[in-house]
Amino acid sequence: MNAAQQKLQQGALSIQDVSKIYDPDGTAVEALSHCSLEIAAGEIYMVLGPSGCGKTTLLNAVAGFHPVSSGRILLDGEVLCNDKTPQAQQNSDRMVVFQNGALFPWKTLLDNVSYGPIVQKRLSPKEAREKAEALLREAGLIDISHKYPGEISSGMARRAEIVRALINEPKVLLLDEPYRAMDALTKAIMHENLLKMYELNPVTIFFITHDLEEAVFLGHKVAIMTTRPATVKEVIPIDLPYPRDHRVLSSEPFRLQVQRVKASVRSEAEKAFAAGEKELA
Amino acid sequence: MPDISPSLSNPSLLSRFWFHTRRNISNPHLYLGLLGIACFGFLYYLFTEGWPLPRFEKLPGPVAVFTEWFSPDPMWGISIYSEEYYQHIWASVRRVGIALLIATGLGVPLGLLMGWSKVFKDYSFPVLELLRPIPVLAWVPLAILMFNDTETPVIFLATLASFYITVLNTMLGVESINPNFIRAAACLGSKPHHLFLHVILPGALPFIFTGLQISVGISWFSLVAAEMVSGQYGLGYLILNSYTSVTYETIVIIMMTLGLVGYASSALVRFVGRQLMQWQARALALENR
Amino acid sequence: MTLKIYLRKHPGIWRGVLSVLTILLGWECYIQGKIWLGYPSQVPVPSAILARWADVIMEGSYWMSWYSSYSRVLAGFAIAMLLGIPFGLLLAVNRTSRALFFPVFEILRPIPPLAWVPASLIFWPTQEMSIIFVIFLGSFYAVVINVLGGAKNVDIRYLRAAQSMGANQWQLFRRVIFPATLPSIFTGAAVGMGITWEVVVAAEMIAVGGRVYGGGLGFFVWNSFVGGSIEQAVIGMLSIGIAGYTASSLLRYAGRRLMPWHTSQA
Repeated sequence: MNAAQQKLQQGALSIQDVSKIYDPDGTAVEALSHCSLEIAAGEIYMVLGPSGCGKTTLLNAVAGFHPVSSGRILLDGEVLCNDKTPQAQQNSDRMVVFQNGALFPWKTLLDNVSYGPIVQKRLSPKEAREKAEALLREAGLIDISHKYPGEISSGMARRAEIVRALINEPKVLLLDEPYRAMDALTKAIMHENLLKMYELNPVTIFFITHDLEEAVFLGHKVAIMTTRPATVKEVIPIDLPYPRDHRVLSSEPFRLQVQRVKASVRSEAEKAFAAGEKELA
Repeated sequence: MPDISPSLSNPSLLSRFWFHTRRNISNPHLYLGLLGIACFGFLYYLFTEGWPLPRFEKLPGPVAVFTEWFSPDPMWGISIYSEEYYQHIWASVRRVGIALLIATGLGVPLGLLMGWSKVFKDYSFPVLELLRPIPVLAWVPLAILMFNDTETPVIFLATLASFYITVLNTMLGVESINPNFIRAAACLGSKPHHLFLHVILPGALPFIFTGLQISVGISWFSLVAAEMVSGQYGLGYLILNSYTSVTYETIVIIMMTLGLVGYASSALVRFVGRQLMQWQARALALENR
Repeated sequence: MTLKIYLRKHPGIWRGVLSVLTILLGWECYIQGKIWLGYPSQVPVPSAILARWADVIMEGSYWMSWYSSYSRVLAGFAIAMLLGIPFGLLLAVNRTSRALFFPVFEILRPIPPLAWVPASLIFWPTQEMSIIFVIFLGSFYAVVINVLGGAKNVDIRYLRAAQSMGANQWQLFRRVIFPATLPSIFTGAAVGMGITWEVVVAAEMIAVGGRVYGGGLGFFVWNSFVGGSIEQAVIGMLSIGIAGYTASSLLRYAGRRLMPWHTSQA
């Protein structure tokens, strides 16, 4: 428990026995099978599993993009969804950062970031703009705040998208493989930047990834998912002190943690590969 | 960090203009293009006037056409000095303008609704698809019957094809919007009207303008046809009238005029589109760097 | 699967049928009601059109119109394809020819095809030839623009792959550029076919006068209208729609057969 985390009272996410069955044309595909996760307020919780196992399905259920087939999800003890109301309300207490990025291409970074508080009427347009500028400055994006997303690198865009989420002071940040398409060098920089932003704006982070080292480097805990139908195989606490930076990557404890996680996830990846099923969206 | 190169990151209009002019002047392809146009003009002259070939001699040659076009006292009454010339141009431009306004004013909302609601699309799309294969000109009799005056049928015909194009492109535009934008907007706390104004409309805008671009061409196409069949003014009427009254120079003048106004109107649409979609223009400019 | 389940799974089908029937019924009721209340109406009702259509299909002149329009469309379209595809490919492959010819092409393109009707009537010895010329012109632009765009955007990796496997210039063209351009050729053909029907109707209305046979469907519409048979004019109008739709469908079918790898619609 670090200082930032202790400040947080809110953002505890509880996923209880959640299953999801897709049935578009009579052939039931089970994506999630009795998943249970307990995420404490302010934790960075990494969900690691082979590609296409159904991790995104879990995130979408938490965000309220689609209903669950059974089970329930609670946020700070309040029911988001259960068997009676299977689809959670979409709300700004849970902000999503999407796999391929979803900054509005027709708005400048500043307008993208200030959009949330303005439409929620939490801040006046002027206040929202000032707050957005302050946050963008913090993230090192102030010099390009008047550019459109199409004009900047994907790394910068991803940072801006996280800022756009954080300005709404969400309880939970849902990240869906945000650094998927990046090279290892850029990714390392993005990781350090994310941790820095987390120190400044502590929040519960639900982070989906298939990158082992990413999971170990960032997370307080790593949940290993089985191959489809996905369920939680094991939750491994990562015993590395924060603040972490790139030097951690070459340390012995980090290597040992990675090995531990790898041992657990490897067999699942092999099963997924052998099954050769088409990935779920 | 000091701003080291303001002109590099945000060039002024003048310097951009200079840059493009310099680059174009040093480009051999420009001269080849001019050569091509000159050759075309020369062959046209040669076959019709210089050394007339059998069928070509019937066509008015470039010298005759340009003499007539720029004559203060034209033989057949139509030149850049005659009032009548501009009256016809204005009649056609006005009709196309009204047609495009109606097509966009009705087509964009309808297309947005069709892209937005699956049920509405299920009800309306088949009707559109049934009517669409019927060529504009086949509507002439019904158009004349439906409207009592002479002006409305012509505008109706010029509107029809543009309307189809606008509806279809707008609908495709809405359907092409990345669903994550809609999800993101919902997460950020958008009410339906925010979603519409900040996501659906700008997201569909590139397609709307592609549609508008095609619409302008189609609208001129249909207008000329409609004016030829049932107009009393306008360039289409004038061109057919010149044929029946054997004033052949005027035919070519009108053809060139139609090309010019047609080109000008699509250039205008392109310009407006670029202004409204800065985000796209800038990203595209970076790609062709 | 029974029809009932099928329709429940695809609500779009019955919704479409429902709305079309509603419109036809509304049209019928509106006009009949108007006549019943004593207002004169020249717009024909669907039932009268259908009844007249049953008579018309027995007449030889109706099918003659079909034949005339179709043969003109096919002639103009075939010439446009024969000239447009090689021309578009030439412009795409050879930079010099593109620089030389493209500006002339772009200058002529904004002139609406129908504005060429009078000049074409003056130039060509027969009316038939001038109509076919205008039809050709209408679809030529669409074909060239699409072929040029398609061939220019062939993925450079395909070309490099072929070159690394030792393809010569001709093989490169025949085995890579041409098949890669095929989808664009079909797009151009589809657009061109649409324009072709627009042009043929207009040209037949404007240019063909006085003849009963060989006038085509456009003339059929106009002649029926002038002759006072509005039902028959509407029948002509719908027939043109069916004819155009059939032609486009055939083209789409051919596209699917020729390009099995191309899953999205040509």
